[in-house]
Parts: sequence; C-alpha cells; structure tokens
Amino acid sequence: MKKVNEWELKKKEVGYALWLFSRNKLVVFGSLIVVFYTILAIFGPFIVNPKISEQVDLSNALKPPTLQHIFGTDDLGRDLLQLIVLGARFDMSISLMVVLTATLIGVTIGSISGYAGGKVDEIIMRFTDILLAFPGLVFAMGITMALGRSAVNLFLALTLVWWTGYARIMRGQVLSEKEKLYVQAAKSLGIPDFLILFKHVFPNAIYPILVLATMDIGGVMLSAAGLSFIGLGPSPFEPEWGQLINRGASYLFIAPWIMFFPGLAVLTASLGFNLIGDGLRDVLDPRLRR
Amino acid sequence: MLVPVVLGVTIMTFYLSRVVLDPLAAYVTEKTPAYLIPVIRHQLGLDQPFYVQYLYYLRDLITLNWGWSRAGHMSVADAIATFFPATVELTTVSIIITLLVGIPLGIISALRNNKIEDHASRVFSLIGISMPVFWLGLSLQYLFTYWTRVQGWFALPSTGRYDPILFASHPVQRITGLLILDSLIQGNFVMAVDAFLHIILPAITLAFLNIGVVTRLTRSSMLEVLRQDYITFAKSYGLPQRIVIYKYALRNAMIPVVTSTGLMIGGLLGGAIMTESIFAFPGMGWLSYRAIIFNDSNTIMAYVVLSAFVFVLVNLLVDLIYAWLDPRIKY
Repeated sequence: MKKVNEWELKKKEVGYALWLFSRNKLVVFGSLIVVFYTILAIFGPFIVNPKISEQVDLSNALKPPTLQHIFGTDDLGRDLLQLIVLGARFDMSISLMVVLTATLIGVTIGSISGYAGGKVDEIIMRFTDILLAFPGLVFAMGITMALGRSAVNLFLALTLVWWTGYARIMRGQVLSEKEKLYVQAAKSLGIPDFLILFKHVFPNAIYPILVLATMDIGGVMLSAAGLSFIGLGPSPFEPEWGQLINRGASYLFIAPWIMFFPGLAVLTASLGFNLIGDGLRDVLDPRLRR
Repeated sequence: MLVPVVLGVTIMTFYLSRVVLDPLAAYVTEKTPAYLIPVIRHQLGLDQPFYVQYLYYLRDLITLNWGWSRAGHMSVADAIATFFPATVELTTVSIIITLLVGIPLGIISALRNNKIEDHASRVFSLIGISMPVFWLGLSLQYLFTYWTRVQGWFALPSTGRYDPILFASHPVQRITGLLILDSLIQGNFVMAVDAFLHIILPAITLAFLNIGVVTRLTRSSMLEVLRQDYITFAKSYGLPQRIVIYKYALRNAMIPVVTSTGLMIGGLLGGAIMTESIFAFPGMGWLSYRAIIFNDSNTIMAYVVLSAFVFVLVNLLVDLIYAWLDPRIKY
C-alpha cells in the first residue's frame, strides 16, 4: 500500500517537472533542434547521397548558393547541404559518446572516492587536481597529437579531459548524502555499501550530473569541431563540420558560404543542448522555481 | 598544494611526450642503418629506466632545454619568448573586454530581473556558450575586414599583429613584448593604435563566449547579494540606490566573478589556438596550429606544459584576490 503511494508521488513529481519543462519555450525550442539533428544523424545517409564526400566535381567548385545547391558547393564541387547533413552523424555521435563515457567514468570514480573517503579519496582527488590543471582544449590537443590523429583518438582525448568534472560533482554529492540519517539507518541495518550507494545515494545525487551532462554535450561538440578545425579530426574525406569550416577558411573572401553553413550547424546543434540544459537546471533546482 | 600539482603536470606531459610519443622518431627514418638505432637510443638516454628519464626530462624543463621547434624554426624556449607575449596580450585584452561588457550587462539583468532585458541577456549568453570560436572569428573577419571595405565604409586589418610598413617608420623597442604596452611606454601612439586595431577582432572573438558567462554570473550573484539583510538595512537607512548597489552590493557580488575569471584563462588559452590561426596573430596558439601541420610535437607539448603552468599560477593569484575581496577567508 505504501509502495503505491510513493510511486504515485514520484509520478506526480515527474509530471510536474515535465509540465514546467514544456512551459518553457526555450526548452521546447532546444528539444526541437536536438530532435532535428538526431534525425539527421540517424537517417542522414538515407536522405542524401551517402557517398557525396567522394563525388569530386571540379567544374562545379565554389558555386554560390542556388536552387540546385541550396548551400552552394565547396572547393571540390561537392554539394554543401548534403555534406552538412552527413556531418551530423560524426559530430552528434562523438559529443554524445564522449559525454556518456565521461559521465559513467566520472560518476563511478566520484562515488567510490566520496564513499570510501580516506586515502582512496585523497589519491583520486589529487589525480583529478592534476588533470584539471590543464586547460581542457589544449590538453586534448596534446593528447590527440601524442596518440595520433584519428576520430578514435579524438574521442579518447576528449573523454580523458571531460570525466573529472563529473567525478568532482559526484564526490561532493555523495559526501553530503553520506552523512544523512537515511544512509546511516541503512548502514545500521546491514545493507551492503554498494547497494546503499546505487539504490539510495545515487538517485539523490544525479540531478546536477544530468544538468552538467546536457550542457556538456554542446561544449564537447564545440571542442570536437574545434580540434577537427585545427586538423586533429577524422580524415578529409569523412564529412565533419569543423573540417568543412577549415576548408571554407581558405576561401573565406571568395566563397564565404563554405564556412558559414557548417558553422551554423555547429552553433545551432550546440545551442539546442544548452537550451535544454539551461531549462533542466531551472526545473531541477527547486530554489529557482519562481 | 601547488608543488604536487605542478609535479603531477610534468609527469603527465612526460608520459605523453616521452612514452606515448617515441622521441626516437625525430631522429630515425626508414633509411637509418639498423646498427645506429641503439646508439641513438643510448645517446638520447632512452635505454634508461623511466624514472631516470623523467629526471632528465625535469632537468630539461628547468634549464629551458625544451627541444627544437620545427614550426618556429628556432628552439622551443626562444619560440616561447618570441610568441607567448602576443598570446598574453590577446588574452588580457579579451578579459578586459569581457569584464567591461559582461559586468554592466549582468547588473542590468539583475536589476531588471525577469523583464525583457533579463531574458535577452539569457538568450545572448546561451548563444555565447554555444558559439564555435573559429566560426565567429571567420565571420567577424569576413564582415569587418572584407564586407565593410566592399561597402566602402572602413576596414579593420584582417591578419597579423601590426602593419609592418607602419612599424618600419615608427619602430617600437621591445620591452615587455606586449606591443600595445610597449608603444604606449615609448609614447608611440601611432603603433599603439595600429596594434589595437589588429588585436580588436581576435580579442572580441575570444571574449564572446565569456561575456555571456560573466553576465549570468554577475546577475545571479547580484540577485543573491541584493536579498541579504545588510542591503535591506542600507536601503532602509535611506542610502541612495546607486550607493547601495555600487558600493555595498557590487563588491560582494564580484567574488564569484573573480573566481570565474581565473577559470576563463583555460578556455582562452585553448580558444587562442583557433583565433590566432584565423587572424594569423603570431602567438603561441598560432605557432601550435603550425606545429600541428608540421607534426611538431615539441612545440605542442611545450604549449601544453606552459598553459598548465600559467593556469595554475593565475588561479593561485585569483585565490589571493579572493581573500582580499572577502576578508573572512583565511589561508
């Protein structure tokens, strides 16, 4: 009987949060953007020619936007619109994967650090101190350079840079939850530590992580596109936004559309995630509900 | 606290540059005779255990023996001395722009909480944190160095740090390496203006992201402070609004902003790579971009170590300012 009540209460709260969420126009707008790019990322190769990046046609190079090529063509005569649609897959998936992996690693290590305390905590936190001493993008550049330029190494570098933030937050959350009465009660009942952690502490600590993760997807996308822009991304014949912008940079004054449209894609995609994250913070932080 | 972090930083960069990256690769090609490889390996000290190699690495770091920069055609230490001041100048101007624009915007949004100005600043700052620096840089370059010239209005210089022809007629002695400062010290206003015109677009590009962050931060901490009892007291005491806000509220509201300024440095040093490469602004970021093309890991690793040191140092400085702003904090 009590279980049902609790469930009903949860449902009500989630419903309330969703209602608050949908009332915020910016969040709705952000969600639409994200859904749009997700569709492009999944179905892109079925909507446009999946081999477009290999269809070099020099007689059509640097053509300004027309009805035939809505976004114009690049320096190799490839249709820019189709390249951008295909690029969505790389940029969306690398950002999602980096944030997901970083969150998993960070949350696990942060929980262990906070819950175990003592020496373990000390060592882990000193290690994150060291990683945090490096400016993120510069460090990612160094790692990608050392490992060699490829999409996989870009992913590894960004993940290595990004997980520390989650570990820090999770540790703080666990530390503050650990002292609360319900955890002490569970402990005295003899419930194993990992169960307490995952069933009781974790759900209470997850909200700030969720907000950070949503906003980080946008940030990681900017960094991934940026590193690709300076030449540390995937191979030139893999459609990717940052790389397209780099191509466009060489033709800035005669064919500005080459850099303009891919950049617009990076900006709007990242904005979508940031809008959602911003709204999420307002909804999840009850102090801001006014 | 500081020493273990700095040592840890050097261990990380040692691992990246001497273990992950094979230093042998710089000296050995497929045409190198096989019997020479162990000799080179020995001369580079690569046959020693890692902890000995690390000590060598540390010695080289301290004695500024950072290797040869193929991208800069000089030793890495010389390259840093030549190019780093430009990056310092760029980030400094960018921070000044950020604070000059961000703080007033934040105060306005806090005072006009939940009104149209507030919503506008929120959208603006969200766009700011979603903005790809390199795209913004290219767009500004197109607009203000090309498009405005085509329109016949004005044109800002698109690349470089100064006009070399102007520099020949108005030479500036190098004192600090910060061109604007050096010209001002020597009373060379022509060059100061020229350097300023060259730096303004890259600096705005770099500042754009942080303006939004500072605006939001000033707003939220201002709102927090304005709710405090002592502000209510000051108001009820009959002090004019301006004094309450600028003398009593702002100083306390600035504390989180100061902290964030320290954290900004990290992002600026990263953003500088793209911004400087777009505007061909000869700083460490521009050199790093060239180093990527040249596959020159010495220069890249030097920038990684250097930026970590700067980042740590600046944040130490921020802690000190923090203590000065808030005397309750003691170390």
